[in-house]
Amino acid sequence: MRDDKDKVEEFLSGLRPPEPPRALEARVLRGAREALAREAGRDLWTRMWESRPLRLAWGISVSVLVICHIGITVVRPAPSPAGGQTARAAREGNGELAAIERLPRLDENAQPLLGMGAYRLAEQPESKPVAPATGAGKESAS
Amino acid sequence: MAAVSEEILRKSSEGRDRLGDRAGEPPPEVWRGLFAALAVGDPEALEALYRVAARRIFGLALWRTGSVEDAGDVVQEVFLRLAQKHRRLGRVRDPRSWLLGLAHHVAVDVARGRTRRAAEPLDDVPFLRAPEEDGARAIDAKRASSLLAKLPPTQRDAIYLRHFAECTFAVIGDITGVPTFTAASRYRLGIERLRRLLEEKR
Repeated sequence: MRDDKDKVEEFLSGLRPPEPPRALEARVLRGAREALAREAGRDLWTRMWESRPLRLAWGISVSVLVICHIGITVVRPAPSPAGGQTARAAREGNGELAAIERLPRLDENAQPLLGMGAYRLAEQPESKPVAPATGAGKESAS
Repeated sequence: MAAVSEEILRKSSEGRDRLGDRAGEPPPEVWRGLFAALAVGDPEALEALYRVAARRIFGLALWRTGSVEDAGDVVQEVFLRLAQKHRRLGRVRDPRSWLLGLAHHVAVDVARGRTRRAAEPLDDVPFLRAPEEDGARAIDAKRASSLLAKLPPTQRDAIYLRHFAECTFAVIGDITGVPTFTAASRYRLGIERLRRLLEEKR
Protein backbone atom coordinates (compact mmCIF):
# COMPACT_ATOMS: atom_id res chain seq x y z
CA MET A 1 0.00 0.00 0.00
CA ARG A 2 2.78 2.41 0.94
CA ASP A 3 4.71 1.57 -2.27
CA ASP A 4 1.57 1.95 -4.35
CA LYS A 5 0.90 5.31 -2.77
CA ASP A 6 4.47 6.50 -3.25
CA LYS A 7 4.50 5.51 -6.92
CA VAL A 8 1.18 7.17 -7.61
CA GLU A 9 2.07 10.28 -5.64
CA GLU A 10 5.31 10.58 -7.54
CA PHE A 11 3.41 10.29 -10.79
CA LEU A 12 0.80 12.85 -9.74
CA SER A 13 3.23 15.31 -8.19
CA GLY A 14 3.21 18.69 -9.89
CA LEU A 15 -0.05 17.97 -11.69
CA ARG A 16 -3.19 19.87 -10.71
CA PRO A 17 -6.88 19.74 -11.45
CA PRO A 18 -7.82 22.39 -14.03
CA GLU A 19 -9.03 25.83 -13.05
CA PRO A 20 -12.66 26.72 -13.73
CA PRO A 21 -13.19 28.60 -17.02
CA ARG A 22 -12.83 32.37 -16.70
CA ALA A 23 -16.26 33.03 -18.15
CA LEU A 24 -17.82 30.91 -15.41
CA GLU A 25 -17.13 33.42 -12.63
CA ALA A 26 -19.27 36.19 -14.08
CA ARG A 27 -22.13 33.79 -14.84
CA VAL A 28 -22.06 32.17 -11.37
CA LEU A 29 -21.79 35.43 -9.45
CA ARG A 30 -24.52 37.13 -11.46
CA GLY A 31 -26.96 34.30 -10.78
CA ALA A 32 -26.00 34.07 -7.10
CA ARG A 33 -26.31 37.84 -6.56
CA GLU A 34 -29.76 37.85 -8.13
CA ALA A 35 -30.82 34.94 -5.91
CA LEU A 36 -29.41 36.69 -2.84
CA ALA A 37 -31.28 39.91 -3.63
CA ARG A 38 -34.48 37.97 -4.30
CA GLU A 39 -34.10 36.08 -1.04
CA ALA A 40 -33.36 39.24 0.96
CA GLY A 41 -36.53 40.87 -0.39
CA ARG A 42 -38.82 38.20 1.03
CA ASP A 43 -40.30 38.99 4.44
CA LEU A 44 -40.73 36.55 7.31
CA TRP A 45 -44.36 35.67 6.52
CA THR A 46 -43.59 34.95 2.87
CA ARG A 47 -40.71 32.70 3.87
CA MET A 48 -42.93 30.89 6.37
CA TRP A 49 -45.71 30.52 3.79
CA GLU A 50 -43.31 29.11 1.21
CA SER A 51 -41.49 26.86 3.67
CA ARG A 52 -42.31 23.22 3.01
CA PRO A 53 -41.48 21.98 6.59
CA LEU A 54 -43.67 24.65 8.13
CA ARG A 55 -46.56 23.85 5.81
CA LEU A 56 -46.15 20.18 6.66
CA ALA A 57 -46.13 20.97 10.40
CA TRP A 58 -49.28 23.09 9.98
CA GLY A 59 -51.03 20.29 8.09
CA ILE A 60 -50.11 17.71 10.71
CA SER A 61 -51.31 19.99 13.55
CA VAL A 62 -54.67 20.57 11.87
CA SER A 63 -55.08 16.85 11.16
CA VAL A 64 -54.32 15.95 14.79
CA LEU A 65 -56.84 18.53 16.05
CA VAL A 66 -59.56 17.24 13.73
CA ILE A 67 -58.91 13.62 14.68
CA CYS A 68 -58.97 14.47 18.40
CA HIS A 69 -62.20 16.45 17.96
CA ILE A 70 -63.85 13.53 16.22
CA GLY A 71 -62.54 11.16 18.87
CA ILE A 72 -63.97 13.24 21.70
CA THR A 73 -67.35 14.14 20.23
CA VAL A 74 -68.39 11.21 18.05
CA VAL A 75 -66.77 8.18 19.58
CA ARG A 76 -68.29 7.94 23.10
CA PRO A 77 -66.20 6.22 25.72
CA ALA A 78 -67.55 3.04 27.36
CA PRO A 79 -68.63 3.43 31.03
CA SER A 80 -65.91 2.49 33.41
CA PRO A 81 -66.40 -0.80 35.34
CA ALA A 82 -65.97 0.89 38.71
CA GLY A 83 -68.57 3.58 37.94
CA GLY A 84 -71.05 0.96 36.79
CA GLN A 85 -70.54 -1.08 39.95
CA THR A 86 -71.17 1.97 42.16
CA ALA A 87 -74.35 2.90 40.30
CA ARG A 88 -75.65 -0.67 40.51
CA ALA A 89 -74.92 -0.83 44.26
CA ALA A 90 -76.75 2.45 44.81
CA ARG A 91 -79.80 1.18 42.92
CA GLU A 92 -79.81 -1.97 45.04
CA GLY A 93 -80.04 0.07 48.26
CA ASN A 94 -76.52 0.23 49.55
CA GLY A 95 -76.76 3.53 51.45
CA GLU A 96 -73.09 4.16 51.85
CA LEU A 97 -72.42 3.78 48.19
CA ALA A 98 -75.47 5.89 47.38
CA ALA A 99 -74.11 8.67 49.56
CA ILE A 100 -70.78 8.51 47.76
CA GLU A 101 -72.50 8.61 44.42
CA ARG A 102 -74.64 11.65 45.32
CA LEU A 103 -72.45 14.66 44.88
CA PRO A 104 -73.59 17.45 47.22
CA ARG A 105 -72.30 20.18 44.95
CA LEU A 106 -74.68 18.97 42.24
CA ASP A 107 -77.61 18.68 44.63
CA GLU A 108 -79.98 21.61 44.31
CA ASN A 109 -80.77 21.51 48.05
CA ALA A 110 -77.22 21.27 49.22
CA GLN A 111 -75.84 24.06 51.38
CA PRO A 112 -72.33 25.38 51.21
CA LEU A 113 -70.13 23.70 53.75
CA LEU A 114 -67.36 26.21 53.79
CA GLY A 115 -67.05 29.64 55.33
CA MET A 116 -70.01 31.32 57.03
CA GLY A 117 -72.47 28.95 55.43
CA ALA A 118 -70.98 26.07 57.38
CA TYR A 119 -71.43 27.91 60.69
CA ARG A 120 -75.04 28.72 59.88
CA LEU A 121 -75.64 25.09 59.06
CA ALA A 122 -74.22 24.06 62.40
CA GLU A 123 -76.49 26.53 64.27
CA GLN A 124 -79.67 25.24 62.60
CA PRO A 125 -79.68 21.49 63.07
CA GLU A 126 -83.47 21.20 62.77
CA SER A 127 -83.58 22.56 59.23
CA LYS A 128 -80.92 20.25 58.11
CA PRO A 129 -80.93 20.08 54.32
CA VAL A 130 -79.79 17.19 52.28
CA ALA A 131 -76.28 16.83 53.50
CA PRO A 132 -74.11 13.89 52.74
CA ALA A 133 -73.70 11.56 55.63
CA THR A 134 -70.49 10.15 54.37
CA GLY A 135 -67.99 11.63 52.09
CA ALA A 136 -69.03 15.18 52.96
CA GLY A 137 -65.65 15.75 54.48
CA LYS A 138 -63.99 14.78 51.26
CA GLU A 139 -66.19 17.06 49.22
CA SER A 140 -65.77 20.00 51.56
CA ALA A 141 -62.10 19.42 51.65
CA SER A 142 -62.00 19.57 47.91
CA MET B 1 -20.10 44.98 5.02
CA ALA B 2 -18.00 44.96 1.87
CA ALA B 3 -15.04 45.96 3.99
CA VAL B 4 -15.48 42.78 6.02
CA SER B 5 -15.23 40.61 2.93
CA GLU B 6 -12.23 42.58 1.70
CA GLU B 7 -10.52 42.06 5.04
CA ILE B 8 -11.31 38.35 4.93
CA LEU B 9 -9.95 38.12 1.39
CA ARG B 10 -6.79 39.97 2.39
CA LYS B 11 -6.24 37.53 5.24
CA SER B 12 -6.95 34.68 2.86
CA SER B 13 -4.31 35.81 0.38
CA GLU B 14 -1.84 36.36 3.22
CA GLY B 15 -2.50 32.85 4.47
CA ARG B 16 -2.04 31.48 0.97
CA ASP B 17 1.30 33.26 0.62
CA ARG B 18 2.39 31.94 3.98
CA LEU B 19 1.32 28.38 3.32
CA GLY B 20 2.52 28.29 -0.26
CA ASP B 21 0.59 27.57 -3.39
CA ARG B 22 0.29 23.86 -2.63
CA ALA B 23 -2.03 24.52 0.26
CA GLY B 24 -3.98 27.17 -1.63
CA GLU B 25 -6.66 27.07 1.04
CA PRO B 26 -7.51 29.78 3.54
CA PRO B 27 -7.53 28.88 7.24
CA PRO B 28 -10.83 27.73 8.84
CA GLU B 29 -11.55 31.14 10.41
CA VAL B 30 -11.59 32.70 6.94
CA TRP B 31 -14.18 30.16 5.80
CA ARG B 32 -16.28 30.83 8.89
CA GLY B 33 -15.94 34.59 8.40
CA LEU B 34 -17.11 34.33 4.80
CA PHE B 35 -20.06 32.17 5.78
CA ALA B 36 -20.98 34.59 8.57
CA ALA B 37 -20.83 37.52 6.15
CA LEU B 38 -22.95 35.63 3.64
CA ALA B 39 -25.44 34.68 6.36
CA VAL B 40 -26.24 38.36 6.90
CA GLY B 41 -26.65 38.91 3.16
CA ASP B 42 -23.32 40.48 2.15
CA PRO B 43 -23.11 40.15 -1.67
CA GLU B 44 -19.36 40.80 -1.60
CA ALA B 45 -18.94 37.61 0.41
CA LEU B 46 -20.15 35.67 -2.63
CA GLU B 47 -17.26 36.96 -4.70
CA ALA B 48 -14.79 36.29 -1.90
CA LEU B 49 -16.14 32.78 -1.47
CA TYR B 50 -15.90 32.16 -5.20
CA ARG B 51 -12.23 33.08 -5.13
CA VAL B 52 -11.40 30.66 -2.34
CA ALA B 53 -13.79 27.79 -3.15
CA ALA B 54 -14.60 27.67 -6.86
CA ARG B 55 -11.41 25.84 -7.81
CA ARG B 56 -12.05 23.03 -5.32
CA ILE B 57 -15.74 22.75 -6.21
CA PHE B 58 -14.98 22.72 -9.94
CA GLY B 59 -12.26 20.09 -9.53
CA LEU B 60 -14.43 17.80 -7.43
CA ALA B 61 -17.35 18.18 -9.83
CA LEU B 62 -15.13 17.50 -12.84
CA TRP B 63 -13.72 14.33 -11.29
CA ARG B 64 -17.23 13.19 -10.41
CA THR B 65 -19.13 14.07 -13.59
CA GLY B 66 -16.31 13.73 -16.15
CA SER B 67 -17.50 16.80 -18.02
CA VAL B 68 -16.21 20.38 -17.97
CA GLU B 69 -19.64 21.66 -18.90
CA ASP B 70 -21.35 19.73 -16.09
CA ALA B 71 -18.71 20.82 -13.61
CA GLY B 72 -19.47 24.45 -14.51
CA ASP B 73 -23.16 23.76 -13.95
CA VAL B 74 -22.35 22.24 -10.55
CA VAL B 75 -20.43 25.35 -9.49
CA GLN B 76 -23.32 27.54 -10.58
CA GLU B 77 -25.88 25.40 -8.75
CA VAL B 78 -23.81 25.34 -5.57
CA PHE B 79 -23.54 29.14 -5.46
CA LEU B 80 -27.23 29.48 -6.26
CA ARG B 81 -28.09 27.25 -3.29
CA LEU B 82 -25.69 29.18 -1.08
CA ALA B 83 -27.49 32.41 -1.95
CA GLN B 84 -30.94 30.89 -1.45
CA LYS B 85 -30.11 29.40 1.95
CA HIS B 86 -27.70 32.10 3.10
CA ARG B 87 -29.50 32.69 6.42
CA ARG B 88 -28.59 29.19 7.63
CA LEU B 89 -24.90 29.45 6.79
CA GLY B 90 -23.96 31.05 10.09
CA ARG B 91 -24.73 27.77 11.86
CA VAL B 92 -22.34 25.65 9.75
CA ARG B 93 -19.49 24.38 11.91
CA ASP B 94 -17.05 23.29 9.21
CA PRO B 95 -17.82 25.44 6.15
CA ARG B 96 -15.17 23.92 3.87
CA SER B 97 -16.34 20.34 4.36
CA TRP B 98 -19.96 21.42 4.22
CA LEU B 99 -19.39 23.20 0.92
CA LEU B 100 -17.53 20.24 -0.58
CA GLY B 101 -20.32 17.97 0.62
CA LEU B 102 -22.90 20.18 -1.08
CA ALA B 103 -20.79 20.20 -4.26
CA HIS B 104 -20.55 16.41 -4.12
CA HIS B 105 -24.32 15.98 -3.77
CA VAL B 106 -25.02 18.40 -6.61
CA ALA B 107 -22.42 16.68 -8.80
CA VAL B 108 -24.01 13.28 -8.13
CA ASP B 109 -27.42 14.72 -9.04
CA VAL B 110 -26.09 16.24 -12.25
CA ALA B 111 -24.30 13.02 -13.19
CA ARG B 112 -27.47 10.99 -12.57
CA GLY B 113 -29.55 13.41 -14.60
CA ARG B 114 -27.34 13.04 -17.63
CA THR B 115 -27.15 9.32 -18.01
CA ARG B 116 -26.59 9.62 -21.75
CA ARG B 117 -23.13 10.97 -21.13
CA ALA B 118 -22.27 8.13 -18.81
CA ALA B 119 -21.76 5.87 -21.81
CA GLU B 120 -19.37 8.27 -23.47
CA PRO B 121 -15.64 7.65 -22.98
CA LEU B 122 -13.85 9.93 -20.54
CA ASP B 123 -10.43 9.64 -22.20
CA ASP B 124 -10.38 13.25 -23.32
CA VAL B 125 -11.48 14.72 -20.01
CA PRO B 126 -8.68 16.89 -18.56
CA PHE B 127 -8.77 15.61 -14.98
CA LEU B 128 -5.27 16.95 -14.45
CA ARG B 129 -3.17 19.68 -15.97
CA ALA B 130 0.56 20.36 -15.84
CA PRO B 131 1.94 23.80 -15.02
CA GLU B 132 2.01 25.87 -18.21
CA GLU B 133 5.76 26.36 -18.12
CA ASP B 134 6.44 22.62 -17.86
CA GLY B 135 5.85 21.16 -21.31
CA ALA B 136 7.27 17.74 -20.46
CA ARG B 137 4.72 17.22 -17.70
CA ALA B 138 1.88 17.98 -20.08
CA ILE B 139 2.25 14.47 -21.52
CA ASP B 140 2.15 13.03 -18.01
CA ALA B 141 -0.97 15.05 -17.28
CA LYS B 142 -2.70 13.66 -20.35
CA ARG B 143 -1.65 10.14 -19.44
CA ALA B 144 -2.76 10.55 -15.83
CA SER B 145 -6.11 11.88 -17.01
CA SER B 146 -6.66 8.88 -19.26
CA LEU B 147 -5.80 6.53 -16.36
CA LEU B 148 -8.10 8.35 -13.96
CA ALA B 149 -10.89 8.02 -16.50
CA LYS B 150 -10.72 4.25 -16.01
CA LEU B 151 -11.49 4.49 -12.28
CA PRO B 152 -15.01 4.37 -10.87
CA PRO B 153 -16.27 7.84 -9.87
CA THR B 154 -16.37 6.92 -6.17
CA GLN B 155 -12.65 6.03 -6.18
CA ARG B 156 -11.84 9.17 -8.18
CA ASP B 157 -13.71 11.23 -5.56
CA ALA B 158 -11.71 9.68 -2.75
CA ILE B 159 -8.37 10.27 -4.50
CA TYR B 160 -9.28 13.86 -5.35
CA LEU B 161 -10.40 14.70 -1.83
CA ARG B 162 -7.42 13.00 -0.21
CA HIS B 163 -4.68 14.00 -2.61
CA PHE B 164 -5.72 17.45 -3.85
CA ALA B 165 -8.17 18.75 -1.20
CA GLU B 166 -6.08 17.20 1.59
CA CYS B 167 -9.06 15.91 3.55
CA THR B 168 -8.86 13.23 6.23
CA PHE B 169 -10.75 9.98 5.64
CA ALA B 170 -13.31 11.03 8.26
CA VAL B 171 -13.96 14.26 6.38
CA ILE B 172 -14.08 12.39 3.06
CA GLY B 173 -16.68 10.11 4.64
CA ASP B 174 -18.72 13.13 5.73
CA ILE B 175 -18.49 14.74 2.32
CA THR B 176 -19.42 11.65 0.34
CA GLY B 177 -21.91 10.31 2.89
CA VAL B 178 -20.15 7.02 3.66
CA PRO B 179 -18.43 5.65 6.78
CA THR B 180 -14.77 6.53 7.32
CA PHE B 181 -13.75 2.94 6.69
CA THR B 182 -15.48 2.94 3.29
CA ALA B 183 -13.83 6.22 2.34
CA ALA B 184 -10.40 4.83 3.23
CA SER B 185 -11.16 1.61 1.37
CA ARG B 186 -12.20 3.49 -1.77
CA TYR B 187 -9.00 5.51 -1.68
CA ARG B 188 -6.84 2.41 -1.20
CA LEU B 189 -8.57 0.53 -4.02
CA GLY B 190 -8.28 3.55 -6.30
CA ILE B 191 -4.56 3.94 -5.62
CA GLU B 192 -3.95 0.21 -6.18
CA ARG B 193 -5.83 0.26 -9.45
CA LEU B 194 -4.02 3.39 -10.60
CA ARG B 195 -0.71 1.76 -9.82
CA ARG B 196 -1.66 -1.35 -11.82
CA LEU B 197 -2.75 0.80 -14.75
CA LEU B 198 0.52 2.70 -14.58
CA GLU B 199 2.51 -0.54 -14.74
CA GLU B 200 0.42 -1.89 -17.62
CA LYS B 201 1.08 1.22 -19.68
CA ARG B 202 4.85 1.01 -19.24
